[in-house]
Amino acid sequence: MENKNNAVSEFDRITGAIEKLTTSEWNRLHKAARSFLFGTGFSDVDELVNETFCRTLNGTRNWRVDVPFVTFIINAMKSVADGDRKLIYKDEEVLATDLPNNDPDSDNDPLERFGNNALSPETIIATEIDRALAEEDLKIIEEYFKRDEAVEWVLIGIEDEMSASEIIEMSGLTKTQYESARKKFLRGLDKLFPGRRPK
Amino acid sequence: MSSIKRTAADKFRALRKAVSDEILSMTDEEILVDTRNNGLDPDDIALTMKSKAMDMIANIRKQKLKSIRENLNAAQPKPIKPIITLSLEEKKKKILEFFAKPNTNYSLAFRNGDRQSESDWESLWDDIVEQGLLDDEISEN
Repeated sequence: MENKNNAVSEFDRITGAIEKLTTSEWNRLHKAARSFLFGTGFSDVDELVNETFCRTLNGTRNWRVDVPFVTFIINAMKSVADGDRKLIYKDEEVLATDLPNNDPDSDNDPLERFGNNALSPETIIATEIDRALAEEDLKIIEEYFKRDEAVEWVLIGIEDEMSASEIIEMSGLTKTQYESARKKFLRGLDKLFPGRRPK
Repeated sequence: MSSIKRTAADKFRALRKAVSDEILSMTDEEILVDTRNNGLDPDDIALTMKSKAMDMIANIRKQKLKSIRENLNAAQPKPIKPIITLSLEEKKKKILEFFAKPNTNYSLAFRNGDRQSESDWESLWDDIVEQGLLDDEISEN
């Protein structure tokens, strides 16, 4: 169980790692963040990176010692971009042990949190906006690569979570053609995103 | 291929996973060349991002300190108001004022003549206070 001292040292461990990031690591984070922006409500790289650092520093995400910091942050950014509503929803779950008066010293009533905002009109509207934005962004990407048949196959394959061999088999691409197209697409995605998306 | 209809959000999740794997597989040199090929300066990118992150860390530290300070303040017992006990003369005065009130239902009669000892006055004062007719202390305001 973590105590307050451990929480403080975790904060220092993460800030220490941020301070030590090298130029290439910052650029790697930048490229990843920019690639992740499609289909999200984040308007630019700074927003996504800051949100991720903030959640990490506040202890929402744990950095395992055996994972390189850049790998951890890129995965965390991906997760933030994917959307964390479900996790927030789980946090608000009320258990039998949370019933009021369970702790006579507490003046908090956990049942006040019951009826979370997952189905509130505001959330439903926000979800609809997110969905429309994701569909619009997906069209931009698909449209851009429409002229490149090999990349189109890669895109379809990734979207449907097909394996490399499945994509190669279906598309008739050689392994080299597939790898070249995959690299071109995945490394070029960030270039498609505008500098800053208007809110 | 999956037969389940996949939403745009599902497709983006899969795309981001592939992108992160690809970006993590790039060498440091490939990353720096890629930035330059995008018309950007890698040093500028690094400096700007680091500076913003450091500002954010400083803000979070300030908020944490503020929160700790507020918790400490909330945990400290509230100072008790100093209480001043009335002197015997003040007690006598209040007793006499109380019985002198025109609308009082109480009257004062001493058993042993007009002259009372200090302990008589103290005893009378205690009786009156016990019945809640007078307050035996004053708060310093």
